[in-house]
Amino acid sequence: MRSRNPVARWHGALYAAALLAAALLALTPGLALAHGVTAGDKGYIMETFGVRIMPFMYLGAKHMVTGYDHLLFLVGVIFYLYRLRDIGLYVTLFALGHSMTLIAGVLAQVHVNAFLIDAIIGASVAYKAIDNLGLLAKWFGRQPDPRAATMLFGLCHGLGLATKMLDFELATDGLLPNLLAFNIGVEIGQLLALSAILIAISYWRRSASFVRYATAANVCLLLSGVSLIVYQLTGYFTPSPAS
Amino acid sequence: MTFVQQPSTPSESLPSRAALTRATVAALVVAALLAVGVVLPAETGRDPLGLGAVLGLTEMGRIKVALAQDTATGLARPSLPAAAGGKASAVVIDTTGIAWRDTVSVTLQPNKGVELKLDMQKDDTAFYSWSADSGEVYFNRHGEPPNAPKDFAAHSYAKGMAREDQGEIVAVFDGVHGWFWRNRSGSAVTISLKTRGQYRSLKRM
Repeated sequence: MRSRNPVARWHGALYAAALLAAALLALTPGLALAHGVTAGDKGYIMETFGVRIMPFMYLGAKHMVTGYDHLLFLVGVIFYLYRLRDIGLYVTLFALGHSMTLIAGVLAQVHVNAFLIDAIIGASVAYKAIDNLGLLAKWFGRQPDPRAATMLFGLCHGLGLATKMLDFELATDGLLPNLLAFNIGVEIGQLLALSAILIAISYWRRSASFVRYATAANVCLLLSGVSLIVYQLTGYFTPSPAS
Repeated sequence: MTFVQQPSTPSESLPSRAALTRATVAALVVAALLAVGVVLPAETGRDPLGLGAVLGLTEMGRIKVALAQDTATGLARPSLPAAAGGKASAVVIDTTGIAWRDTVSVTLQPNKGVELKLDMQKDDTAFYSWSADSGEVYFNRHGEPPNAPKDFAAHSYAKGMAREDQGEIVAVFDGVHGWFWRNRSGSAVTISLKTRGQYRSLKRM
C-alpha cells in the first residue's frame, strides 16, 4: 500500500463522506418511497388473481434492483472480492439466507416491523463497511467468519423482503407459485445489479486510486449504513399519521 | 490501516481492459433490451418489441396505467336509478320471474373501472345477478367497513374474470359490500346489475 500522508488520506475520506451525506439528505423525502412498493405495483397485485409467474418475477427483480439498501450491502460484500469463485460463494450464501426467510416469513405470516428490519439491513451495511476497514479484527482480535456473517445478514434481508411481500396483501390463491416466482426474480435482480457493480469496481480496481480511496469508500459505506439505521429508527419512533 | 480481506491484487488475475470493455458493452446491451423489452411493457403497457406480451407483463403495465388514470380522473360514474338514494325502490320483475329491487347498467370504455356497493349491516343477505354484454370483465366482489382508512385492505369475497355471476352476499361486517369491475378488453362493455334482499341502498363509490 502506498504510504501517503494519513492526514491527506482522511481529508479525501471526509470530503467523499460529506458529499455522500449531502446526497443522502437531498434524497431523504424520496427515501420514504423506497419503503413499500409503489402504489402501482400494489394496486396491480390487488387487482389480479391466481398464479402470475412472470409479473411476480419482475416485481422481485425490480425490488432488488431498486433496493439501494440491499445493493449497498452487496457493494460491501464484493468490495475486496475479485475471484469469481469467491463472489459466487458469497452471493450464494446471501441468496440462500434471504430465500429461506423470504419464503418462510411469508408463509408463516411473520410481520416484522418494516422500520426495524430495514434498520437491521442498514446495520448490515455498516457492519460490512467496518469489516472491510479491518476494524473488526482490530477491536475483537480476530475477524468473525465473513461467510457466517453474510449468511446471517442474508437471513435478515430475507425478512425485510418477506415484510414487503406481506405488505402486498397477497391472495392465498396461487400464493406459493407467486412467492417462488418473486424469489427467483429477487435472484435475477441481484445478479443483474451485481454484474453492474462488479464491472464498475473492476474498472476502479485497475486504477491506482482504488488503493488510495478504498478506505474513503468504505467510510462512505459505513456512513450510508449509519444513515439508514438513523433514518429507519426515526421512522419507527415517529407515530404514523394513520394511527 | 490493515485490510483483512484485501488481496495483494496480483494484476494478472484482474480482468484485462479488453475483457472489461466486452463486459461493459454486453451489460449495456442487456440493460437496453431489458429497459425496452421488459420494463417499458411492465410499467407503461407499451410493448414495441412484443416481448412484454410473450412474458405476460404488458397486462401488468396496462393495469398500472389504468390505476393511475383512476386516481387522476376517477372511476366511471353511472347514473343510478332513483331508488338508489335510499328511498323506496321500484320493484322490477325480470323474465325469470324474480322481483329485483334495483337494476343498473353501466357502460365501461376500455380500461375503465366502476364500483357499485350495497349498504348493508352485518349478516344481512342480498341477492344479485350481473352480466356483461360482450366478453369477460375483471370483477372483485368485496366489502369495506364505513370510514375505512385509505390503506384499509378490503375484505374480498371473490375476484376473477367472468362474463356473468349470480349469488348472494352475506355481509361479514357493517359497511358497503359490492363489486369493482374493470373492462380489460379493447372495446366498450356494458355491465347490468340486479339486486334484491337486505340492504339500505345501492351506492356508486
